[in-house]
Amino acid sequence: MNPVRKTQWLGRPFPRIEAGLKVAGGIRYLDDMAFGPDLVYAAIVHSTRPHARLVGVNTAPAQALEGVLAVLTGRDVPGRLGHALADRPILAHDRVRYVGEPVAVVAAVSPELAVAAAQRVKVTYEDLPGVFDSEKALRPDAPLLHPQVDEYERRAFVHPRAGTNLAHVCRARRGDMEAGWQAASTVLADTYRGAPIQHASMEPHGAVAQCHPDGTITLWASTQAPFVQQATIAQTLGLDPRRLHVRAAAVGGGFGGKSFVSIEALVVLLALALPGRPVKLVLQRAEEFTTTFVRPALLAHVRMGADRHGKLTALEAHYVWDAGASADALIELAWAAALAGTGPYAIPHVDLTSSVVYTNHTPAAPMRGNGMAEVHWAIEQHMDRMAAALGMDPMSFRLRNLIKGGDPVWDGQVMHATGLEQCLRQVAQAVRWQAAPGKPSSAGRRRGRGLAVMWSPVLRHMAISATAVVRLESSPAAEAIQPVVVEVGSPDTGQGFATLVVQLVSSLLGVPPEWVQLQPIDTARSSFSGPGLGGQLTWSQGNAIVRAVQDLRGRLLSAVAQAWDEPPGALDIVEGVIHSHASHRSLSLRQLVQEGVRLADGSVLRPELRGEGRFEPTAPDEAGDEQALGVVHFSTGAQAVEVEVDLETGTIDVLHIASAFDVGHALNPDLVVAQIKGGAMQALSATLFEQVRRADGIPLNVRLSDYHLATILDLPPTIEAVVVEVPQGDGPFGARGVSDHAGVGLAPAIANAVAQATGVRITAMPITPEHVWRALQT
Amino acid sequence: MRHEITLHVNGHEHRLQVESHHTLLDVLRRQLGLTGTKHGCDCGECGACSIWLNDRLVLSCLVLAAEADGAHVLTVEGLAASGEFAHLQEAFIEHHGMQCGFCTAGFLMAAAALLRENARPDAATIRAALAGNLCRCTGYHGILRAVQTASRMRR
Repeated sequence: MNPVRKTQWLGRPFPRIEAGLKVAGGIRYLDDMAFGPDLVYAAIVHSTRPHARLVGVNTAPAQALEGVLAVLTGRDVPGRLGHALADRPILAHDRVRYVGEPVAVVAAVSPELAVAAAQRVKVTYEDLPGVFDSEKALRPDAPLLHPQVDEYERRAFVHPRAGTNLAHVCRARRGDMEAGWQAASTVLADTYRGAPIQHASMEPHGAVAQCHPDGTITLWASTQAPFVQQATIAQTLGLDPRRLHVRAAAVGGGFGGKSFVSIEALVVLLALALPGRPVKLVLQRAEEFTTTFVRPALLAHVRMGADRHGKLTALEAHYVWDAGASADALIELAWAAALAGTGPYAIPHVDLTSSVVYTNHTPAAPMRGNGMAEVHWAIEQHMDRMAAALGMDPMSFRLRNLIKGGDPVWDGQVMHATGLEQCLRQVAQAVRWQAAPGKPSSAGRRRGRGLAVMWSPVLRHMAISATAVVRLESSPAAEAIQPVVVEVGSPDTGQGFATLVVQLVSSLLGVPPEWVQLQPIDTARSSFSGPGLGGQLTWSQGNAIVRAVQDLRGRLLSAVAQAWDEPPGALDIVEGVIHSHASHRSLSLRQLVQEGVRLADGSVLRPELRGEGRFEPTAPDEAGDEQALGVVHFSTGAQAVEVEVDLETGTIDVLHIASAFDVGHALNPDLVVAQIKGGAMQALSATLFEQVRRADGIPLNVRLSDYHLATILDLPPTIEAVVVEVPQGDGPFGARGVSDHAGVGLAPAIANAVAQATGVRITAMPITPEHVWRALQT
Repeated sequence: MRHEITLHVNGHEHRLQVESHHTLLDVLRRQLGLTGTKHGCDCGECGACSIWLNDRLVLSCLVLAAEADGAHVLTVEGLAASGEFAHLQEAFIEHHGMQCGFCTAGFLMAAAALLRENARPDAATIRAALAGNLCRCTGYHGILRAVQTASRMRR
């Protein structure tokens, strides 16, 4: 197949396929689905203590209420959840480790009754000393959250330290640090802090489970990773995974918060206790903050050296991640931080450590960018400070050190072609980096500009294989279309992936887009795929789809070629009709599906109407050292901003955001631009406003009026997106992902702009007016 | 306590039995199956449940159903069926005013309420009118563009 010719609907704007339903209120999210009159409602009994021994859980007062059907506690559930490290009880066993941890779960005939019953469960605690700071958690005398962590089930790339709160530590090194420091004329060290924030998807977590008479269980969930949920829950509960069918509902935002198991195992347990009855749990907003996941707080210790020509010589960094009470969801993030923790620079001598630490906080999970926003918050501020120490312009200093195609990364790996430098130049131009700063709108205000570059790795650890199936189905004679059914394993979580599937299949197969029908995901039927992490769906799932279409197309064309006694190369499919360039014969796909194709001897040939595709990324030699097998490829980009700061109040107005990302090839430019702008605003919100605040483990702001999210009032007057396209060697038509990376450079760009405007450097997120004001007073 | 109420929803009259604690949002979603109106926070902080009550924009999670006895309600389903704001819906599609779509109904109801009062609002007026609606995906840029475009298409 000639891929250049078969790109009819690719590389150009194509409207979202589900947009018409979305503007009519017609999309059914989990909580909108009907489950009949037998539906039962669940509510969680949460721990009110950050760290305590569980002395007793008295469920009798709840069970005494009429209409309460089941109350389960940790006594009923022995296992622990985890896809990389099984460290999280579904319901607390002998101790609680964070406020909000599920201690018991109730099922009742109405949602109000379930909540009332949950409030009547009496939990008796014996408080234990808590750990509320990831550095204190690493001290030898710190109370331990998981004394037996080394005995937990885990995958080979997880490295816990017995007898400590260190759930996982990984390290990436190259060169000789001594030589690196000796070659440096300037060495600078500092510590940066990233705040814990919440994914805050507009749709709360929800799940429904039902146990059927044949022993199978269906789990409907708002999920980014149905296959991960199936495997993890089945393993924890000791179920045959084939008994558990996970069906993905429409997802109202995820950002990483729905990529793991959070509450879904609870409804499966209740469904097992109440056979036949569907059991539903939809979280309240406060539970999103305490009981699901948060983005981890980061403590980053950075030490960097450069020679007098402005070339970086050495970098030593320790990234310490506050995992909360469960580290399972941070294992890949920690690896990403180690393997991409330099930022996108060529540095000869590097020693990076990434540690995941238990504390008595809500468990953390990656949020959009898999740790990269946090890592670049540190590296990209440090780069500006190094530039200042060297007397260099921050852009020139970056240009001197940017990684280029062909530069070594880790042992046995070199950087692929990248549009990184082009991204940097584009955003610098957009904010007129070389020109004098704009005039502030009034006295007492100052303007500044800042920029940052970024990269983000796709890790082999998380890039589990993707598969796809494309098949032709027969349809009633009255219908004009020939259905082309597509099965993939990763759901569209709002970014527009389903639209891309239609574009790919219709272009490559040669059929009208309206023939393509993407099946809802059901792990019982759909083809397996790993989680949609790291903004890699376009790349991994896209590759699988391309292969599936090629497989199907090959089967169809070789059958018809055989029947017509022509070479397959003479045939093509255009608008759903097979044509021969040689004989000018034609046959519609619809006719082929219904009647087959007649051979010269009069017999009928019926080709298989199904194609399969599987994509498994290749990475450097797996036999080698762990760090070498980690990164499949990097995405790169740059962001620049102009801000105006009020010196009297510390208030920051972001006037201009420019973002540029190398997406390889924009298969749908409108969707790419929408991701880049949306990601920038989500990052603006995290940079300026967001922080889950706690006092000794007690969450203080668990509602949206106390936890500040950006509104339309915060939208800068100018926000622009530049699409750079340096093709990705192993991407579908050269494409790579963008959605996860779209905010990674924004926070340090804003911090650098604030520093340029005011002279004060804010190293702890978020950059609130109070932080700025206090810094200005000293 | 149980109340019998009458609601005129999207042009249809319904006689309903509701409990004192039931919100208008509960009744729309659970009893009438109008699930286009979303449940995002249950305390008036996200805007996803925005509807029109007697031609005024309200948060349906903050209105008790019993209080709404006799009222006229318009939800996103009714807005779409009427066709009166088709240009606004089209503009949301064209400018990518939605991604996951969970907040979209609330934004449409708020934007339509604004355009009905003010056919040619400036950007600051649009921002003020939509400041009570949260969106985590789009970054609001496409939403602002959509409402600006719709206001130009109107007349």
